[in-house]
Amino acid sequence: MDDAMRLKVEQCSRTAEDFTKLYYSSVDKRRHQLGKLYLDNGLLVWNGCGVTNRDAIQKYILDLPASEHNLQVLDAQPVVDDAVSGQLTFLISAAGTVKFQDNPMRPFQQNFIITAQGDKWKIASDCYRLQDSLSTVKSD
Amino acid sequence: MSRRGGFGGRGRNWNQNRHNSGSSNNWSHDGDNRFTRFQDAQDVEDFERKPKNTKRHVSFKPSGVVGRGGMKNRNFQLAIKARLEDDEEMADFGFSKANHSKKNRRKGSPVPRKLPPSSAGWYMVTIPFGRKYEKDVLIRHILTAISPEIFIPNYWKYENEDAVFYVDDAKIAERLMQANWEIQMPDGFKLSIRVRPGVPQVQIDANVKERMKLVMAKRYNAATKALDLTKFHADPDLKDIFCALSRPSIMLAAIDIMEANIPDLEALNLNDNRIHLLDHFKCMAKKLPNLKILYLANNRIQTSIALLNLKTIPLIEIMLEGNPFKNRFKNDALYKSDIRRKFPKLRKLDGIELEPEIGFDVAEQTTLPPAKASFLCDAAGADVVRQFIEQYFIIYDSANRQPLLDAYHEQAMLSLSVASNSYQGARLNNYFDWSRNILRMAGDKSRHIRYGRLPVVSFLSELPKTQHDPQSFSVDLTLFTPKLINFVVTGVFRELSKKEQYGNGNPDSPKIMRSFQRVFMIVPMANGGFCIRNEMLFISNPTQAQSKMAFKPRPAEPIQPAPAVPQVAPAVPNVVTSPVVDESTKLQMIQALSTQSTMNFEWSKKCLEETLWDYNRAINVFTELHKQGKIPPDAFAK
Repeated sequence: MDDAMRLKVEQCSRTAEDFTKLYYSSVDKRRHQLGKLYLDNGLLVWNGCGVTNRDAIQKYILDLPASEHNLQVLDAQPVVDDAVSGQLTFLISAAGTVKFQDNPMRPFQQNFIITAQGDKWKIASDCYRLQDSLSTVKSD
Repeated sequence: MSRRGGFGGRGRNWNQNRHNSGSSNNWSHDGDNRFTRFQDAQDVEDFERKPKNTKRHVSFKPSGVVGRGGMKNRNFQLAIKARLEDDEEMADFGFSKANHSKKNRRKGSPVPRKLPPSSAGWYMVTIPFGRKYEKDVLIRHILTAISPEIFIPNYWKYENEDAVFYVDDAKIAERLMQANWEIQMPDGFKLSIRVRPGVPQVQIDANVKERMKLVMAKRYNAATKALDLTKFHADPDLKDIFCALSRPSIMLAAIDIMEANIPDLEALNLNDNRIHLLDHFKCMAKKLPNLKILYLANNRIQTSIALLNLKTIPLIEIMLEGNPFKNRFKNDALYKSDIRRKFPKLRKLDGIELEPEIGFDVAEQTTLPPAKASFLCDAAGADVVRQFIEQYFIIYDSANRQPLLDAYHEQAMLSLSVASNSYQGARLNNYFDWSRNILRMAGDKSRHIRYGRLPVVSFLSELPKTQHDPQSFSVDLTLFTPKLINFVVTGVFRELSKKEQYGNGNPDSPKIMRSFQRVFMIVPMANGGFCIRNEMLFISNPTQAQSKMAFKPRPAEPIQPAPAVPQVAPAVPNVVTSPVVDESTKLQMIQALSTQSTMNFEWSKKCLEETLWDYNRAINVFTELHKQGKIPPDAFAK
């Protein structure tokens, strides 16, 4: 890995840390602000349910039961490809536990693609999964 | 005097709120003669009893004079009583011996006698020197004496020379007590019959547990997930042992059996079991997470406070009729509101639907939207992603992961991260050394990132060999452009044991299951296929729900046939397979054949070689030979 790449990884890791700190405190405590973090045509996939556009995402998240996320593992990589030429793009993978109101605590995993738009990071896509979302789908 | 022995009250006023002074009033109405005799006797008795008496007067008040904190006291008393119940038998031994020595009582005395109430509803009947007679003869004589009443002498046994049995009916117990000294045996011996509250003892060993399990299985309705344990101790299959759910130890054993065998139990009927303590029911919420209907009618629950022990069970229906505590409520409305306060989710009480509660309009959403197995941001991506995943995991699960070289970009990037806490199951030691967790990283952030095709694949080759469960996969396609595709696969795999990998090692070693998530960023290649630009792999232990469903056929969905002729390593669907079969394709074929035929790799390979790597022919040949029983068992040894 050359120095330029190291630098990118370094920047990506820092951004991932800052981003997830902001994201999880928003989703747990200031949900009404969360919409701003997404691109206008951003995508949220919540346990397999897709929602597009910032306003719809904001509404979808507002309607979820109150949550308490505990982030435990964080990984991130820069996307270096001609396909995203000129636009900084990072992949972020987050994992931890979550308790939705009245529900038992469960492990979750979440993946983001964030991209720089001007001087702001925006979420292009956000993929959320409760680890056993499918295993309980039938008994619910 | 020793009539008073018949009260069974000695030292056991634990069970009754009655005083000696009260009982001696009865006596004062008797004839003078008798009275004086009694007085004498009482002196002796009082002398014997003095220490206990003082204690009793101090600590226990007669019922009805319950002042502030009375409820608390009573609970305390109840708890003690239950604790002591097991000891009742022992506590009495000292006195029964004393009784023997005072045989010179007056016979046939018409003194009205009362039996102390038994909290458990069981009475112990002792017939001194009962061993002298055949059991049948003895019982026949007693039956004749108390006719027309009849009884069953439960749990018959001998203690030294005495015959001992139990009855569970207060009326019978009282009648038996009255028959004391009234039965003359053929040899002229007059029977003494002593009755007192007492619960039969039972040792809970593996044998008793096994029998309980069988009876419970018989009483379980799998369709409704309901277990009916009404009058459990009276089950014909448990007649000979005293297996009463009123005893905490038995109830706990029953709960453990339910947890182990029917953890998804939803309804439990415990009617008519004389249950008076609920402290040990607390563990039910955890052990039986789906329980929502509980019947406890016709038991002996004394206070509604005891029900707090059930509070953590999210009950929607409860049956409490026929319990003494209900009479403590002035009216039904108070009773209802008290119970509802304890079980806010209750919809049915004592068989009657409850009217919905009026709440505040801050109702928050508490249920999560239902999950879906997959999401495709673009339907056009379905085929590419499906084929990519299929081919990737066939190679990944094979004995050799080298062919994955074709699946990665020259400058591919891969990192692995591991759950920091293992919820349950085997520790994730095998992965920790390579785990990249930015939250716990000091210094060089590029550590643990594999960069470049070769480092990536050699790293993957080092990870434990696996078998993925495709049925457990959820796939979310989040980006689909001509130049860039991003998707996320979540699911379950298991690590192959040494035996499966190398043919040696302990065949009984536990199967280790893992949950994983992989994020793939793939880009098109010049030759028309795709390759991985970025990949992030996350591994953790599966939740209970995942382990339960993993590698089980899910009947709702059709089982996918094994790929007929797997295509060349990760590539677009329209690539035509070349007639010359390369090594990686051979591997996939072996893998596929082994899965479909359950033959091991060696024999699958042999079969394919002999059919010149024509997969369909190989399958046909296998099926034909297998039908004729010509395939040796070696072929299936793994």
